Amino acid sequence: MIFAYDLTWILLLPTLGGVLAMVAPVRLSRWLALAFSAATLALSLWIFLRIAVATGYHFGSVTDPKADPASIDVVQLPWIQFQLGSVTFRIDYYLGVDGLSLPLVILNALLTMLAVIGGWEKPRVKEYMALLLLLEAGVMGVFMALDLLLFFLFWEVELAPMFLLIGIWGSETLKHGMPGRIYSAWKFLLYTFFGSIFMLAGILLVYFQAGQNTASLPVLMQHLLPASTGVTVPLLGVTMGSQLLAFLLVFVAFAVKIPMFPLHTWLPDAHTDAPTEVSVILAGVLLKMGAYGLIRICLGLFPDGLQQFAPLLVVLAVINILYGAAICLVQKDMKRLVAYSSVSHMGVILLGVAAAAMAIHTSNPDVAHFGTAALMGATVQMISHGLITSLLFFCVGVIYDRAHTREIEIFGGVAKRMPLWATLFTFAGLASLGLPGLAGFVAEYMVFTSSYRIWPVPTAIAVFTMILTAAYLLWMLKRVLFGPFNLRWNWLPDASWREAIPLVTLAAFIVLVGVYPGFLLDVIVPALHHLLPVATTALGR
Amino acid sequence: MGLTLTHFVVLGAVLFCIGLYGALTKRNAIAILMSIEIMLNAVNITLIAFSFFNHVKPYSNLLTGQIFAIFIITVAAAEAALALAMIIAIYRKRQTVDVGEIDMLKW
Amino acid sequence: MYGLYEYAWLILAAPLASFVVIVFGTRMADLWSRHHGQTAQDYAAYLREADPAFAAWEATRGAGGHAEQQHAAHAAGPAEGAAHLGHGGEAEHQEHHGDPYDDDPTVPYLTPWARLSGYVGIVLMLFACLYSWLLLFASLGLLPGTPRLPEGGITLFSYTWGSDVAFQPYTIAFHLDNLALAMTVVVTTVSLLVQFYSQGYMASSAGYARFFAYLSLFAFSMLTIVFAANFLVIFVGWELVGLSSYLLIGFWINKRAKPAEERPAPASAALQAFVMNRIGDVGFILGIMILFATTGTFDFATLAGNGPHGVAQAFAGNQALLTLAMILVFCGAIGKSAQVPLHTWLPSAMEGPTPVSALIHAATMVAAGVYMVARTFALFSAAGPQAFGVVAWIGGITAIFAATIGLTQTDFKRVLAFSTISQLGYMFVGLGVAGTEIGPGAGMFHLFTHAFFKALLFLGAGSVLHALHHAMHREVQDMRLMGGLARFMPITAATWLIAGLSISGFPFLSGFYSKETLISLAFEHGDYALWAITLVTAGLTAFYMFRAFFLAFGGKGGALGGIWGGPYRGEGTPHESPVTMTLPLVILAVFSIFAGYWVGFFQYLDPHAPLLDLGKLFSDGLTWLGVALSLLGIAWAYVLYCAVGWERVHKVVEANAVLRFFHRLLLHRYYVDTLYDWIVRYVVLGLCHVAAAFDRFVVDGIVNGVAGLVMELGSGLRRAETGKVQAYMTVFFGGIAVFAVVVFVLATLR
Repeated sequence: MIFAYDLTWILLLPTLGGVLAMVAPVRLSRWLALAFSAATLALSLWIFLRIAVATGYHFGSVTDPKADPASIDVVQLPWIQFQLGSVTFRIDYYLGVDGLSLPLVILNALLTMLAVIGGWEKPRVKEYMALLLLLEAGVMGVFMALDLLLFFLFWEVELAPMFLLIGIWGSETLKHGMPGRIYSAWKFLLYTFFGSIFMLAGILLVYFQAGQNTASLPVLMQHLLPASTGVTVPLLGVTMGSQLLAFLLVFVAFAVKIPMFPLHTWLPDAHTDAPTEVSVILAGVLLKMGAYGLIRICLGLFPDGLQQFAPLLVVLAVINILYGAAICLVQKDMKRLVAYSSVSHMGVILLGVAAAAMAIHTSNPDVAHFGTAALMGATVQMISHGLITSLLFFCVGVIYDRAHTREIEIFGGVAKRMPLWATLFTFAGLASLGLPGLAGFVAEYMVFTSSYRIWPVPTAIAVFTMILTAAYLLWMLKRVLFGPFNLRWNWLPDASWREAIPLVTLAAFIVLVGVYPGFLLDVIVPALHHLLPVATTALGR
Repeated sequence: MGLTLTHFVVLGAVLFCIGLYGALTKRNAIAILMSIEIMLNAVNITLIAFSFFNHVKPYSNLLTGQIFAIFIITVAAAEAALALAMIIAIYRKRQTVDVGEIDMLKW
Repeated sequence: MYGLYEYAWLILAAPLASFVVIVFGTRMADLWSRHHGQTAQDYAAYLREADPAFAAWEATRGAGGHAEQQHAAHAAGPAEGAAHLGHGGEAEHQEHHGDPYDDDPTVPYLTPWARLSGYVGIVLMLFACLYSWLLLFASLGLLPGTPRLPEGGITLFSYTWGSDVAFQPYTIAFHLDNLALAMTVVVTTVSLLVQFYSQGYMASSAGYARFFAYLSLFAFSMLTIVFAANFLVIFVGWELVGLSSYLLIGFWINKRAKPAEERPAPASAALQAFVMNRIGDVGFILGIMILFATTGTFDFATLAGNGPHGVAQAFAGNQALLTLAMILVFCGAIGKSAQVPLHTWLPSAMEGPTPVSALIHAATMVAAGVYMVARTFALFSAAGPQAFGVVAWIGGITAIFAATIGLTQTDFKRVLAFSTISQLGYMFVGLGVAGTEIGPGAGMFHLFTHAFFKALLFLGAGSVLHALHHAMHREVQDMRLMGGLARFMPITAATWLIAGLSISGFPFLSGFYSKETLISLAFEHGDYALWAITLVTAGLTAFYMFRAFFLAFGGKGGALGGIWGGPYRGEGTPHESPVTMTLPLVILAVFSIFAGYWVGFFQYLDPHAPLLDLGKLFSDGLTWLGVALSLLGIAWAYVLYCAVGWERVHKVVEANAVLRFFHRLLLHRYYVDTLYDWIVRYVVLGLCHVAAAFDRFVVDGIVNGVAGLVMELGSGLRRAETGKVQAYMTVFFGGIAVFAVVVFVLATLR
């Protein structure tokens, strides 16, 4: 019975909550949304604790057929199956969580709950809450789906609520002759669709090339497409292995979502025009869908394709990191600045994955360690960026709700009036610039130090982002919070309790990950070991 | 030499072309409607002719062609009624039945 | 076995505990207790009820003090509201950024919670300080029943980031050895004295609790560096002290820039400090990355060892790379210790409260670079000689560069700032020229003594500024507005004189031993150029320190020929500072005299190093050459500023074109700041603007261009839809006709 699995309920709870929030009276719908998002969070935490307790904190990998069943949580039921001539078409209802996806599931549940709290007083609150919850359900599906076609389905499902959330509650500032919310919603939608088409093509290519009559990720991973042998497909006159081709097709979708230069321009627009909570979800989990797909699917399914592409990927990663940071330095809008900082920070993930890709078939245990650490750093960066950027967006939202502007130059010395908010905003900025003891440092330090072994020159160049990141974040903080007080803002009240809840919660998690990352790293690492060969000898202490 | 299938087919084709010419060139909607009726009747003639001159067993005994013609006559009547009603409605709204000025589907 | 030592993590935990307690406890209570009422009047009424001390204070103000009381209460917290906006409305204030009272808000009265914050910080720091002294004595073998520390030190505690083998290098580990202990004593002692001093100095400052929280955070971060067992932890501490420095420089968050005095706003200075440090840190982490990629470890002991992960084996045959790595690591020290060319942040950092300048920007944090080089001394030794060469030469160049700038500065704190930069240069010379047989002792010894007398100099300066602030009711740091202060504040003047003599290398004071040792080391090891530089710098140091002393405390016509007192050029009457401020001065003065007598210092750090040979030091003629140069500097300062007088010197300099040129050059700090400003403004931001424009017009332009193209295509094609039925029919039948022809042709061709 499908309802007997808790993973089903992770999908169903937000969906139900969304429907109920829509039909219930306004007063009730907020509380319903909060209750259902909290229930989803509780359920995801319960799964986490159950596995942790049952296995003694040993999380498995869903793609590993030898994994201890207690260390993962999987549901597989037949869903669509039909035959056309000699072709069998089969999609399974195949969900699973392991060390790689469970933190993201929890992050998604947490951020949605905080977004519900943050959006408590939105206009048309019923629809808002409903769409937030439906969005959560869609994203959950992406993180849990283990059937590629089901993955694709959820990948598309998530678009609709996001499109509406930006399009209805977005900003009215004119962009290219239309309200910004319309422009950005379309830009977001079309960009993602653009990528999705390629992904669908790639998935179908894999489906038919593998000839297993299934799109199940674990099964396909055991029947990896040959990289150089097998079918070679000419593309733009260049013949390439089917694995590289499939990788490139699928990667386009993830590259759009991550977002990778030069497919990133939807992000600043979407962020500037989306309401605060939607920006939070967008930066916090939607970008992670791309990074997650890159690690789970590209690295798992097309290791050789990824390895062949890695030299280019590392160049793009460095461009992402430095180019995004450089643009931040001259931004005039706080939210746009944070959006471009996302481009920069997500580049770190690309760098880590590019380093890991080179370690895939290595026989050198040292390189394997460095690759694992780089991939680990990239994965932690997913979580830490989700926490930190969400905090930054919540902070910007607080001042935007009061002042109705996000222009940096207009403010000045606001910390005088809003000490609590200023503290948390500074905290968020410091976390984002990679201050030790906070989450961002763990990820970036691991990626940079370990990628250097594999990609010395690109990493050495990328490290210069440390200067730029510090400069643009602290410069923004200086212009907004510090310096001579602009009496125009004398009336500003400090953050309210309701606004402070998300800020403080996220700050606590950032410190936790930053000070003792072990609790997160130990969850993730087995899933990564399945992707990279396990080295046997330890590095020196 | 009596009437052969060819005569009927040629007659149908000629009638169809007359109707088509009228439908494409006339400005008056009523005239276009009449032209369409001519085209329909041209088709009817062709259908009946094929049906009548069919000597191949077992299809020679079937009246499919004739039945189709009757069917078309029925439909044409309904169509004419509908078209006239539309023309009247358009005339009421636009004070014209000149199809050159009726471009409500434009773009 | 090492029970006493194993609890040394308490020294680290104490400031962290006080930070947490203050931030989440007493400071919250402080903020909350000031939140009563919505207006200044409400707040005053609340205070009147809540605390008799406030009522007493209010009574002394009388009726005339009403307006001031409003201001005072206004500045006290976020309680005030519309009262301020009441007159004139918002429009009037559109262009008017804040009122003068917002710059440096003062409170009439500290809430009990604020004062408690201070006590928490001081008490916990007192504990840490006493414990570290106890450990120091134990490690010297002076404590019966407790053994000395083993040579390699002991690990206090450690945990890895993850349990997987791939994370083994990523270990947070704290380690205690003699080097760390010597530094700990400096850090905790100066921290304690500065915190004690701050009770007086910050007594009327808003954000008193916040200040102590930051000071505690700093102490924790600095001790993290000190106890670091590997590059990961030292980098953590490195960045955290950068954070505390950032927070403390920008402590007065709303204070404005003073362009007339070339003083930036504290917020800008803080930003500058952090970003410039980050520039050095990039080099630091690049060096760490090279070491890590080659050896697979961050751990100092492993790196220095002979195992397969030690640099000796891992870099065998590739010493050039190791040299490069160590030079890059040294970049971190250049940034943190404000060496040329990353020195410009330190003078700007003087915008922070003076106790901060004393603790962070003179005694401890800026010395972190020296400590780091000392800590990684074995790695520098393993690298090529170029590594130590770079260290020594950067130090030497910085020493004389900063000293020359110090000659002309008129801002009291800036003179000290450049003196700090210069002295840090000395320490690097000491590390660079020492060689493996002496070890890091020489540089660290100067760090050790310098910490005390430089902290004393800054705290003395703070005492002066505090007094002048009360006398003139505004912030005065210009020495031209001082003069003859020894009459008003004898304790400050006397202690300052001791520190000044000490830093000038006056015989038998602590600075004499550390500095002359350094200079003679440079000579002995054949670095004659560096020897000459340091010798000249010693003379310059003595000159500008005593120039500052005579300008501030003495003057023409004062007692003892102008040394003690003289004409006061400011307004009002300054008074000696309260005992909370003078007591630390006296204690530090004692250290400034006697710290140099720790002759076993070299051996304490490195058991194989020789003792500091006092006999040789005294019998060496070159030592006395250095002393003579210093005395010459003092004498010349006396001639110019006590005998001739500052005004006449200034006139002569202005009249002579050559002197005027050099004066301008030095006064504007060789225009390095101007150059950096230009680079940032036009080169860096220019490139960023180019990138942003590229993004907007090229990348996004292509996207919008494709969208526009599709739109244009669509709107062009829709013209085919004429809406005329006959046109559609024509096309329809025409199409059929064409199709029929095609079919016919194809059919017949076959």
